Amino acid sequence: MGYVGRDDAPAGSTRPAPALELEGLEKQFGTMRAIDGVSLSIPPSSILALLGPSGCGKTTILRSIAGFVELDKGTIKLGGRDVTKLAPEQRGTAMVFQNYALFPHMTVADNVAFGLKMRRIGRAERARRVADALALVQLGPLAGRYPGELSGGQQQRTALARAVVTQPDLLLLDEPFGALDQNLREALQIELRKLQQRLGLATVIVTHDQQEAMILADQVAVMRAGTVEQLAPPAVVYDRPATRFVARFMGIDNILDGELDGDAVRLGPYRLSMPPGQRGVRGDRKATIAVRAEAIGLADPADGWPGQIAYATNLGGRVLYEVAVEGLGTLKVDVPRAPGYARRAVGEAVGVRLDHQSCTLLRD
Amino acid sequence: MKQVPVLWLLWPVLLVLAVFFAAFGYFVADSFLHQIPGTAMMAGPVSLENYRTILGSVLVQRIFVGTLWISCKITLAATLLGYPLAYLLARTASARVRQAILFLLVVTFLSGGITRAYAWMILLGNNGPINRSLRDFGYPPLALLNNETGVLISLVHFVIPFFVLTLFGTIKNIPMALEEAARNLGGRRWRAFTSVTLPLSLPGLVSAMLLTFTVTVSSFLFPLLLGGGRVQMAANLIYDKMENSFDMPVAATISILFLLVSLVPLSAFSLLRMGLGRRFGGTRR
Repeated sequence: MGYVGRDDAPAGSTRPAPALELEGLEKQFGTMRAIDGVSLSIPPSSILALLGPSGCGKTTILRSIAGFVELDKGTIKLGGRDVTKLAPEQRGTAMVFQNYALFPHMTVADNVAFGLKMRRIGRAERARRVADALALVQLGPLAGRYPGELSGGQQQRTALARAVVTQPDLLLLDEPFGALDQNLREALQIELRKLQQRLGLATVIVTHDQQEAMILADQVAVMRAGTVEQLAPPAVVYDRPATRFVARFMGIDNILDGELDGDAVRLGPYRLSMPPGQRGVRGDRKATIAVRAEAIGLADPADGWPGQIAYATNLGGRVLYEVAVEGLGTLKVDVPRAPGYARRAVGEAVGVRLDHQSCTLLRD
Repeated sequence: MKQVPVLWLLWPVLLVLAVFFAAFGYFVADSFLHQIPGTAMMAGPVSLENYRTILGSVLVQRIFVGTLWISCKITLAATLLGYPLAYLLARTASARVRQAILFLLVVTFLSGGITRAYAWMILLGNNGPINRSLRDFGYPPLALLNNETGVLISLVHFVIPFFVLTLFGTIKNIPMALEEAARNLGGRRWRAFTSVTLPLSLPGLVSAMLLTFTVTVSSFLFPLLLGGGRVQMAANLIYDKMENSFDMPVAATISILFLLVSLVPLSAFSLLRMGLGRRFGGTRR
């Protein structure tokens, strides 16, 4: 299935249609709004990660793109083609399911061949494309095995081969690494990223793991309660979370409430000047700041905001301190630990130093 | 602690088996005797005379074949009606639909055979609601009772719960995601079903058919009450020999022969299921 030109694209436009466009998606299950007005689009050949906690609606969006969920409102376009009302088999998406959904009664090769068979592709071409796809994920020697005889990683790669062999317009991945252990997961994530770039395959991945989104995605949509809270490249979501929810979800420990004071933010008795572009995000006088524990430094008491070590946790290469800052509360401070580093004792007086470049003003 | 010899633990089992098989053994032994004419008693000499007579009897042969044939028809009908029902039961998103079907099946399952047989006699009779409505609409009445039709209808109704409840679990255990994967890969609804769900449900399907066949082949009540004397199945013949002719040896002979005859299709089913289990059970995650 090839791309069809967008209906509303100006004649002679050379810009290709987005691989996927979602416009005003809404879906209600009983009393729960699973998708509450989601619009976004992804350019060809790029990966979008739908990131969020369970129940945020990310899987429902993925399933609605595949055609398994009937939307209450909104349109879905693939390469400019409106597929909102099409049956799953007519959409030209390929999905890797959460537990892979491999057909247990078929060999690896038959699993991979299934999509080609449904498309009535001849035996010879089918065999060639199955062999290519299996070679791509390095499963050639296991073609005759049954899914039950494969390891988790091999099953995952079979599912991937089964999806990409059909040359889909859009690849959909539903928590594809959830069932794998940590070491394997990272290796396969990098492998998947390389494969996706080589094939130039537009992809949507659903995950609750922020690191996975960082590794894989070109764009990250952080979701909460059926809405997109922030849509940005991974580095931006990581460095400049838009809201309190995103900041928490991205693992930022320190969220401080204060008030705007000219070009600065007043936090208790302290003043923190904010860089340009970080000012006046909110309409009112209030200001909320997010700052990572790694971005805070410890110095002598006279050299920063005065505080006292309340607790220290050894994290191997780093030490995580809880520091009680006078007039402000407890801050978490993450300090790298080189050999010979002398850990600060509980009760020790310290000065806390915040670099305003690493502080982010939140929207709420 | 001193260990109890394992063989001692077998005693209760052996006792139960002994009582169970002694009854059978007694019955088998009867089949080699013959009836003392005009009485319900038996006497020697021991011979294979009964077997020779029964095997040569065209009537008995016809009843054996007829019983197996009816059982095949019932099993086929139960499959055609029961598979969609089991599928709906396993796949429906609506809890209310599922509860309603389960309720109907369990009520059917638990209500006694006699109750149901009489209910069918009322429903199917010449003045029953079915034929009355047909007459009201100007159609000629159908002969639904006292013939094979009545027996078939009531027996299908009787075995449907066995069939559906056996198959339901198998279908429910096939993840929905497999069908979704098949459709995502370009298969229409029907293709997704025939290439994924149907083959994966075959072990359960064969079990359900086996159970249905077993239950049907030994049916007694429904042919007796709804067949109007025109439908005689093996169990009815045996009953007739015991209770009307008081000929225990002949009844025993017919029982044994029919047991052997029905073992043929039953073992075929069992072998098929074992084969399917290896094919579809062993590779399932």
